Amino acid sequence: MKPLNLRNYILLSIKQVSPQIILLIIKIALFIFLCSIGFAVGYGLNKSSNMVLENYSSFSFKTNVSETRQQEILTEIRQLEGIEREIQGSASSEGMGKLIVFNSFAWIFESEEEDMPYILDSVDGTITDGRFPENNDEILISQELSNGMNKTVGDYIGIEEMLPKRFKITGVYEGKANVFISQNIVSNGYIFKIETDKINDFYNHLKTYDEISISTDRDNIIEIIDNIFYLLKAVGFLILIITAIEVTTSVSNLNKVYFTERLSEFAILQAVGYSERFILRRMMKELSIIISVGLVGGILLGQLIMTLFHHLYCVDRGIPYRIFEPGIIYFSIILSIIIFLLTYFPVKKYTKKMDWIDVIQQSNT
Amino acid sequence: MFKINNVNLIYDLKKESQTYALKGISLKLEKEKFYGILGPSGSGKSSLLYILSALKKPTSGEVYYHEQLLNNIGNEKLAQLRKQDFGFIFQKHFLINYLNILQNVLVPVNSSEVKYVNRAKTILNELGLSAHIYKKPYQLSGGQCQRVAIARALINHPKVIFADEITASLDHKSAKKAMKVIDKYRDGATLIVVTHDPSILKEADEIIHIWDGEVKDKKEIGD
Repeated sequence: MKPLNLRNYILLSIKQVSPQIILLIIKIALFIFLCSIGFAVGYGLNKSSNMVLENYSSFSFKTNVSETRQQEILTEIRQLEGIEREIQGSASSEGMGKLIVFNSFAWIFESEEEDMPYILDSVDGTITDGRFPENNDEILISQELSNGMNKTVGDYIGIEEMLPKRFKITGVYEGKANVFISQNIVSNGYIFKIETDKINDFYNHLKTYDEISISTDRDNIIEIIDNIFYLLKAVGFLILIITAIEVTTSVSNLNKVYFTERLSEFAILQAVGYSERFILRRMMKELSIIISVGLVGGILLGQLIMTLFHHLYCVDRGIPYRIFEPGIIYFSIILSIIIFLLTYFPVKKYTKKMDWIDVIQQSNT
Repeated sequence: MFKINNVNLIYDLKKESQTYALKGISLKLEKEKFYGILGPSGSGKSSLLYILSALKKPTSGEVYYHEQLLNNIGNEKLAQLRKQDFGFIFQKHFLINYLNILQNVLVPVNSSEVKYVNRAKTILNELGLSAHIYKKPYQLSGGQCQRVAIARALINHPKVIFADEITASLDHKSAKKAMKVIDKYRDGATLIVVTHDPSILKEADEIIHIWDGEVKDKKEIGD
C-alpha cells in the first residue's frame, strides 16, 4: 500500500481522527433528535385539526339543565343563520397544555354512525384502509396519526389525555386534517357545522347561555394556540439556528485545529516535492471521509435515539411521534456540507498564505 | 549544475529595518561534487540551501539549475523538480508520526514497488535500523529518526542531496557513519551539506564559507 494512500492514513491514524468522528456523530445525532421534536411540534400545530374549528362548534348541556330547557335552547340555536348540519355527539381536545408539545393535537369527534361519513368528508378524508367504527370502543384515524403513532388497523390506542380508554383502530383515512372519529359516548352533546363567516355570531349566541359548556371554545383555543405556536416557532427556530451554528463552528474549528497540528507534516511533504494542491486535495479527501462517516454515524445514532424515545416515552402515552423524518436527514446533509465548507475555505486560505519553509525553519530553531 | 547570480534574500521586507539573510551571492556548483557550506549560526548558510533547492525564492538575483532559471518556475513545477531531482535532510527529522519507519522512507516516491522497498530496507540496514522498520517514529530516539530522514532523502535516487545541519541530533560517531552512508548511496548525486562542524566535511570537494550572508571564501579541497 502506498504510504500516502488515504485509506492507509485513516486506518493508521484512527486514534487521531476518532475524536472528530465521534464528536460529529454525537452532534449530528442530537441535531436530528432536536429537529424531530421541532418537526413534531410544528407538524402537530400546523397539520392537525385546528382547521376544523373554522366550521365546527360543539357544546353540551350542564347536568342540572332540565330536558324542557334543553329543547328550548336547541330550538333557539337551530334558528341561527349558517347552520349546515347538526350532529349529536361531541368534539373535544382535552389536556391542551400536554398535547400541544407533540403532534397529538388532533380533535376527537364522537358522533352517531350516520354522521361519521359527513365528518370525514368535511376534512376531505377518504378511507384508505379498514372501515368506520361500529362500536363505542372503535376509532378511525388519519394516515398521519397512524404513521406518527406507528399503529394501524387492528391495533389498539389509548391516548390517556385525550381518549381515556382503549380504542381499536378500525380504519385509516387520508385527508387534509388529523382527527379521531369514534362512536358517540356523550348523550347530551351536540356538534354544529357552521358556515365559516357565521361561526363568530354562532359562538356569541352560545355564550349567552349559562346552561351550556362549549368544548370548542374557539377564541380561547385559537388564542392559546397562537401564543404557544408563535412562541414555539420562535424559540424552536432560534434553538435550531443556535444548534446548527454550534455544530458547524465547533466541528469545523476542530477540523482546523487538526489541520494546524499537522503543519510540519505538510511542510515536509511540500519540501520533498508534493504540491500545495496535492496537500489541499488530500486534506479535503480526509475531511470528506471524516464528515461522511460522522454524518452516517450521526444519522444512525439519531434514528436510534428517536426509536428509543418513541418506544420508551411516546408509545405508553399514545403520543404520535415520527421515527423517520426524511426532512431531518436532508437538514443533516446540509449541515455536513456547511461544516465541510467552513473548514475548506479557511484551510485553503491558510494554505495559500502559509510559508512552509518557515515551519521547517521554526522547527529547527 | 547550479549557477546563482547576485542573489539577495531579505527578510522583513515591509519593515523599516530589513534583514539580509543573503547579500549579493554569486556561485557556481558542479554536478556530482560534494560541497560543504560552513559558517556560524545565523550566517545565512541554511538560507543559501533553501535558495538553491527552490524552497525559497530570492528577493533579487537569479538561480539556475541545469541552465533553467528557477525564479520564474511555478510552484507545481518546482514541486515536481524537488520530487524528481532533490533529496532533503533537515536539522529536524520531520518524520510523519502515523507512518512506520519504512513508510516514512517511501514518502518521497509514494510507492510500494519492490525496488523502492528493497532500496529503503538496504539503506535502513546500513544505517543500523533494520530492526526498527515497522516501528513508529515516536518509538525511536532522535538520532535514529534523523537516520531515517537520511534514508528518506536517498530513496528517490536524487541528483542533488541537500543536508541542513544533519549532525545536530547525531553524536560524532553516528554523524560520520551517516555521512558515509550518504556518500555510498548518493550514486553520483551532488551533495550540499550545511554545517558548522568541519569534521564531517573531510570528503568534501569544495567548502564555501558564509559569514553575515556573504560568501567569505570558496575553496576546493587540496587547493
